[in-house]
Amino acid sequence: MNEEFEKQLRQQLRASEDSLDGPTLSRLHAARNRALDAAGQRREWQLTGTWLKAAAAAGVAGLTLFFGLRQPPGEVPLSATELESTLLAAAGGDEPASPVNGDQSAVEGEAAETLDLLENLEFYEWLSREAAEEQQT
Amino acid sequence: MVATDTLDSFLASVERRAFRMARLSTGDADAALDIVQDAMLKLVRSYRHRSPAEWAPLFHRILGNAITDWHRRQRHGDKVFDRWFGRRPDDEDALDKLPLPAAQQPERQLDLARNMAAVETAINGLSPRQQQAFMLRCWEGLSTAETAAVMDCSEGTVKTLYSRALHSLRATLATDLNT
Repeated sequence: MNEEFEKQLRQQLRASEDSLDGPTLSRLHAARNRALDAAGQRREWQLTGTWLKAAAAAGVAGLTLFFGLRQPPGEVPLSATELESTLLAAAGGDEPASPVNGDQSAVEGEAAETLDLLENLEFYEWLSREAAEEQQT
Repeated sequence: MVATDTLDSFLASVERRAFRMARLSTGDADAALDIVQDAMLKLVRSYRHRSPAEWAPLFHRILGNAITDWHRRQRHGDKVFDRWFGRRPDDEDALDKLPLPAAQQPERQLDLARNMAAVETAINGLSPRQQQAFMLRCWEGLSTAETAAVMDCSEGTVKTLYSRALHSLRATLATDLNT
C-alpha cells in the first residue's frame, strides 16, 4: 500500500521536473555553466601557479649555477659588506661603488643581475603565497 | 582528474529536481535558482575530485544546508518583525508534535497527474525535516543511510521522519481529493 503510494508520488514529482518553463531551464543551464567555468578557471590558475613555481625554482637554480661557475677559481668572493655596498651602488644609492675585483662595469652588471634576482625572488614568493591561498579556499 | 563532461552530466541530471525541491521548500523561484546555483558552485569547487558516486549525497547535503540557511534568514527577518510588531506563533516543528491522522487509503482515488498542486500543498504542510526526508528518500531515491548522511542524523530518525511524512501526505491528499 505504502509502496504503491510512494511510487505514484515519485512518478508525479519526477514528471513535474519536465514541466519547467523555458526561462527557468535557461537560467538553470546558465548556472550550471557558471559552476563549470569556475572549476575550469580554478584548474587553469592552479596549473599556472605550478608552472610559475617550477619556473621560479629553475630560474633561481640557473642563476646560482651561472654565478657559481663564473667565479674564477682562487678569486676571493665578495664579503657581505662589499656585496651590500655594490648592490647599493647598482641601485643608485648615495655611497660610491667600490669594486673589489675586476673592472667597475663588470661588477655593476653582476650586481644589477643579483638585484634583479632578489626582486624576482620576492615576486616568486608572492606568487607562491597567492597560489597557496587560492588552494586553501 | 574528473572530466568536465562527467560533472556536466551529473549537474544536468540533478538541476531540475534540485530546483523543484528548492522551489517547493522556499516557495520562491528566484531564491530557488540562487540556492541551486550556489549548491552547484560549491560542489564543483570543493568536491569535484571526489568519486562521482559521492556527488549525489554531497550535492543534496549542500542543497539542504542552503535551504536551511534560507529558512533561517527568513526566520531572522520574522524575529525582527515580531520584535517590532508583536509575536506570531512559530509553528516550525508543530507538525512533528501533532498526533498522526487516522490511516486512510487515498491511493485508489489518487490521480497525481491532475493533482500536482494538491501534492505540492501537502508537501508544503510537512515540517522542514519531514520535507527533506521525503524529498531525499522518495523523490531523489537516496537510501536511508545516504539520507541520514545528508541530513546528519541517525537512520532511525530518517525512518521516523519519512514514515510521518508519508502518513501525513496520505491523509492530506485523501482529504483534498475527497472534498
